[in-house]
Amino acid sequence: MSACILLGDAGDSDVKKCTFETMKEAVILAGFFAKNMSMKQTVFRFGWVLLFFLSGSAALFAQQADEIVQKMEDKMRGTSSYFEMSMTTVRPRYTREVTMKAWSKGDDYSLIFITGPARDKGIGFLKRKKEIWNYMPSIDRTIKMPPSMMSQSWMGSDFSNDDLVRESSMVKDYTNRILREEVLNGYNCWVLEMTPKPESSVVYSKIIVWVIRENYLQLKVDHYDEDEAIVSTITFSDFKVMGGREIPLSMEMVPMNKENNKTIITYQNAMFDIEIKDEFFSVQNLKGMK
Amino acid sequence: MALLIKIAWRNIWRNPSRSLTIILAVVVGLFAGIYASSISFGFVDQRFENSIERFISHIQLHNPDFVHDGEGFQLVANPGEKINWLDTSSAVKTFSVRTRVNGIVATAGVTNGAIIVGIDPAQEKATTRFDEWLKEGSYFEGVKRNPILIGSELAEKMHVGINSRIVLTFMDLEGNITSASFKVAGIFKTIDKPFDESNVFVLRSDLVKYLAVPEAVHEIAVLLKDPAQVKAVGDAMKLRWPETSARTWYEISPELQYLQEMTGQMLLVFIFIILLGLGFGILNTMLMSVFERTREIGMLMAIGMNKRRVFGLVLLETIFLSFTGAIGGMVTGVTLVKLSANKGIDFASVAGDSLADYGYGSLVYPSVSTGFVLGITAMVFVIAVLAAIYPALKALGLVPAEAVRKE
Amino acid sequence: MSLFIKMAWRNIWRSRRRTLITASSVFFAVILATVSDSMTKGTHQLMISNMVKYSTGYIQLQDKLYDEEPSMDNTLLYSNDIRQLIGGHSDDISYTVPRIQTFMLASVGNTTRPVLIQGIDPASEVRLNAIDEDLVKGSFLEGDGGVLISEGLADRLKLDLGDTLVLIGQGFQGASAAGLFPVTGIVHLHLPQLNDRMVYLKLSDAQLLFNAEDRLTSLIITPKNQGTEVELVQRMKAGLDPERFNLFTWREMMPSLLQGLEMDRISGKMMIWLLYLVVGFGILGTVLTMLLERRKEFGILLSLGMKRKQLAIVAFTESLLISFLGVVAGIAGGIPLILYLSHHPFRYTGDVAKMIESYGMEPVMPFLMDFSVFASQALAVLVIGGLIALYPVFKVYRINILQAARS
Repeated sequence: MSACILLGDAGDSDVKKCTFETMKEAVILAGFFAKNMSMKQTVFRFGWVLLFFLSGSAALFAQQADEIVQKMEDKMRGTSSYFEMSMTTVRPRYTREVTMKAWSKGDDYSLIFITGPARDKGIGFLKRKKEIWNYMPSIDRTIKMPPSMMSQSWMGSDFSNDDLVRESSMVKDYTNRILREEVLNGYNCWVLEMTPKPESSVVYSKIIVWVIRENYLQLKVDHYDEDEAIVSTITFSDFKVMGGREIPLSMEMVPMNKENNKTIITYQNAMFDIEIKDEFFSVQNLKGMK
Repeated sequence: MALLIKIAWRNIWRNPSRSLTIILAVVVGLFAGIYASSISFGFVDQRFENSIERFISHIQLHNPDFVHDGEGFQLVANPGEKINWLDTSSAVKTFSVRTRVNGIVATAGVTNGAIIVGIDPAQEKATTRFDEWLKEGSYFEGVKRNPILIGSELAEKMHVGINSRIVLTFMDLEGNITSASFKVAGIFKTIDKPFDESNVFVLRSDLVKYLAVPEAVHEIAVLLKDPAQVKAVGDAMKLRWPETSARTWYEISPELQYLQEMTGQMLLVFIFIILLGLGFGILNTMLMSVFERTREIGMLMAIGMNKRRVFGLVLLETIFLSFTGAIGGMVTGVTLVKLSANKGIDFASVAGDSLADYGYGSLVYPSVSTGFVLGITAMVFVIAVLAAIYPALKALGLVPAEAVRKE
Repeated sequence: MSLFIKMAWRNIWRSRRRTLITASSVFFAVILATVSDSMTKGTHQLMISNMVKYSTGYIQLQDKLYDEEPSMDNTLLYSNDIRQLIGGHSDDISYTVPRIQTFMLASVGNTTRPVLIQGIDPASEVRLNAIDEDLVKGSFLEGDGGVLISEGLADRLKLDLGDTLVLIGQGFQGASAAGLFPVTGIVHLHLPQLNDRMVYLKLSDAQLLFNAEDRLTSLIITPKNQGTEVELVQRMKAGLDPERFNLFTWREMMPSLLQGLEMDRISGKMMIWLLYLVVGFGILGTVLTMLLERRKEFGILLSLGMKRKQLAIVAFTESLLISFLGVVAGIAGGIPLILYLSHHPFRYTGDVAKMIESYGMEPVMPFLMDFSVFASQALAVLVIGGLIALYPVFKVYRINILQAARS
């Protein structure tokens, strides 16, 4: 059984193989017992052995869930990255597009500049750990976001300021388990249920994630509230290789309580593992960029 | 004199229905005045008691800047020393130590601003009987980790119930934004809706963990054994702790003091109008009665009763009538007050929940002081007698000979 | 029938004194009842107007989606259609108050606070709630480009005239809104919640800031006569596209106030009914005595052959006529009295007055000068008089002719 714990990259076929080996072992062991016992005893013993292996498989699956989540997280974060992207906010009465450039280093630092439309050009956001700074070029002023504004929408989109800083480790903060396997949008996926642990400060009661088995990328995320209703859904699409990695070029977030509202982010350019010093993420830099 | 009294008494009962009418008018007027006043005073008392016993307490201690700004870092200085003093002071009944920060409460769908108050359950229970406001769930029991009590309106707004998960976000005392999840252990409902909508309660021991300052105290509320001592104890505290703001309830909520006075002034107008009505009624009735008895009075004067005595007769009749009525009104009024004072009157059927919007409970216990009852009875009596003066004077104007001849 | 009326009329004037006394009872009843009613209705209306002018206004026009989601995106365009609609009802509308408001971040130095921004038209805003009365410093948005901030906010951000306030937030349809504004005025607001966070701009400056030209979050409409708003809204709705706009009265926007007002209305009613009872007895007393006086007269009439029924009708009509006279006199006397009182209302004194003033209200108990007051009270007293007039009828049927004729 120890041979079945997954290490490193594992594909679809490995999982199947592992289970089969276990079953084979079970059958062999059962046969061994059978030679030395009566039929009834054999069935009984076989049953126990099977149960033993199967429960082992369950534990196996839980471990697998955490592994999957860990890999999923690793894929999302790099050590440092640079993106050029556009965010489209769709509302019943209008649609607005904002373009921006973003640098980030690990979970703690990121710097975002708005490059369009003209009225908003030069607006900057700096995130340092849990703090957000906002620079407005029209008045040449930088302010630090107070806690009361954290739940307000960011740049008019369906994302909140909180979403920008929220850093929960998905493995540490959640209890994860695999619900099933499913094909969605043409991809084979694991469907994972992530339940936040009591100590974490996550607002959702649970999150359901579709993880593409081939590349451990998120395909769809449903966020649930206390009443088992979906609060928001994020869907990823257009998976391409950019900057040396396979990433979804398009992300769509739909809040469930408002019909016809959504926010779509698309990436035009991405670079990973670039050299950025910590000092780059400073308030002064916020002003400097144009 | 005795003769006068006899005649007056006989006159009254010669026409029972008229006499009864006057008596009843006085009874109703007095009864109305007493009962209406008792309800008004009941409201005031309730507001007063509730505010002080359940919310403000007698004295509150704060950092002087906190009173004005309410910022998290404005802590009470030397809380340990103060707590010791309060523990050993003979004037103090109980006190409650609180930690307060402004923050946000959030569930998956809704966020709301709130004041997060960390309390010691036992202290708070003894000082404000907060546990009695609990509507659902329990007073910090049943939830092992980070229990929180939330007001019923807020709970509804945020779609949470017992055991629901809520995330609180606030600034710790070093200026960093912190979030932590709490679980709803209980839902409370006080009579003050704005209070329910903006305050959530957690264990002080839990809150200070996240604030990075274990001795963080923002507020100490003190309840005294003898409420009359408030000024003395307040002054003593001010002297002893000049760097701390020690405010008495009347400094915190001056309008409470004036509530009684204002109610009194309003009642005065109401009673004045009723008394006027009473007065005119008695005046006219007695006037009619004098003219109705023109012959009789004329006869009395003809056989020698002097003017003073006639005057006195009319007055005496009125006195008897109003005295009887006054006693009757006083007794019925006070009785009804006492009867309804036990269970109280619930105005919820009339006003629904709206009273809570202004911080009033809907259950009122009518009450009225003996002084007030005697005062109002005396006023009624005086008005009645005054009302008799004009008719009595008119009686004097009757010339005997004409009177006898009158038909 | 007319014979009876003629008889009754003649009888009344046969004894002017009797008639006058009884009628004066009715007269006083009407005076007191109208004063009471005018007072209750007056305070009631004052309560409404105080609450309404400091919050929602009497009528509010909003974009259809604003009620559910009060955001800058759901603003209404103050187009010509709207102007024409207002113009079309100019007979009933006194003035309008346009507003555009939202939350933003205000920053001074290192301090950042959320504030409520209101773009207003100074002239009409002042008409609604006299907000310029408590101007502490500077001017009330006289020039362009400046801000008027509330006193509490000035304190917290340590701002004075001439300092610069940074405002950052979101404008119309997601556009960013940011601006630097010099503080040109500081105003004291009565509600502490507002006093801590209000920033006023000129409407045009605000609309520029939010990239929301000609847009409003709400248009308050003040009718010429308080009390007509429900009906006015019904008429105006006919000219409004229901898919694009909502037109609310304060009743729909503040339902809990309605409940509180109901309480007030009921307590006012109770007071009036008590008054009716008291003055009713007063009138009854005079009628009783009058009957006493005429017992012999009735006895003789009946023994002469008049039918009881006829006498009853005459007696009833007499009492009714007297009541009617009293009511007419009461109204005649009441009108100048109420008129005087409505201009010289009862004023609270001392600390109570100061307390009321601190809430931004005048410390008066007002009197309403309105046709409805006189009509309703005249009717009420007439009904009382009519009921009392039944007593003579009752007496007529019970009279023992022989005893009465001989008395």
